[in-house]
Amino acid sequence: MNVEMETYLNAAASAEPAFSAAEAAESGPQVAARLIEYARGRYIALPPHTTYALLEHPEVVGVPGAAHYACGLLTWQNMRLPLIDLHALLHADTEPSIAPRYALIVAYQSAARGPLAYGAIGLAALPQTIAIGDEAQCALPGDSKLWPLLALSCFQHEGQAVPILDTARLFAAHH
Amino acid sequence: MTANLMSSPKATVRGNYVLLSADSLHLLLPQHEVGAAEYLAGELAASEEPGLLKLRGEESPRRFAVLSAQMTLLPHCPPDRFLFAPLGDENDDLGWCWNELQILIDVELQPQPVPAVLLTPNAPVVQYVEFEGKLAYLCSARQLHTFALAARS
Repeated sequence: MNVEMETYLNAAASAEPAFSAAEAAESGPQVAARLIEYARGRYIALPPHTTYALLEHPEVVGVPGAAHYACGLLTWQNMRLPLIDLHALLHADTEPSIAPRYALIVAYQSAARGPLAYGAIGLAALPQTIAIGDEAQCALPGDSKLWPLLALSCFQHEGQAVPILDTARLFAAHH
Repeated sequence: MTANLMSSPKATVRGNYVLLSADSLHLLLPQHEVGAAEYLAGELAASEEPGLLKLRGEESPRRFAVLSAQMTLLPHCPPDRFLFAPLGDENDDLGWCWNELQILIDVELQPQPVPAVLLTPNAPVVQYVEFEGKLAYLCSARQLHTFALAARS
């Protein structure tokens, strides 16, 4: 059981970041995104409505013969969720972290109007919420062949291309 | 509605199974695929067959397999693996070593799929059950043989 820290993220999504009218007028409409450091100095983003909760020190059961990026199954709210290591997924030569400090619970739907399903991403650092605008859109980075399969879009943030991932594409099938 | 609830209605299977435990790995095999269990009579040591162990100091042809939590072969036998049983083919003289072996008669199980994102084409387990507070993988003797012995060189 994950009795460690469990933080719900949806309330925070509506509260932050604060967009001032002046900023919006200056740079156009902005939307919130969860900025996630999936490996040191490497980022992806997720739509805030897909990020659900954050567990600290998740307990994980290994899955024999699982994909190279699999950490295993974690228990959360009477569910067993797949926990994956994004760095190992995106860069196949990387070993997955067996015991990530945090597990970010995300929601997805495999089909339109289908039931919600959940998966989890192992993280070493807490996600941040940032504001992005259309003017920040950029091309996907070229350091993983999986970006075009997983990403909805991409934006420039502090000099780095940050893909926005589709959680359904991420969790609905083996990669 | 939520797709991966443990308690959501699922198909059930009923039958006789054996719960085999190797540290944190718990496997459920059909009872007819598990031979009679015996206590290990002594310490295990490496044999001339890669990945398999034998009783130290004995000339018996019997070989032993010791699994890790990832269902791969360990090069040694942890002290708390004190049981072994043959699996599958009765002519197979390979003893598989366990911490615990529990026979479950006429038990009803609710298999759940291992999430697709975690599976590979050669995955030895594709379903699990919640049983007495443990997560146990449903498996066949053939799947176990194939996966565990495949990595031997």
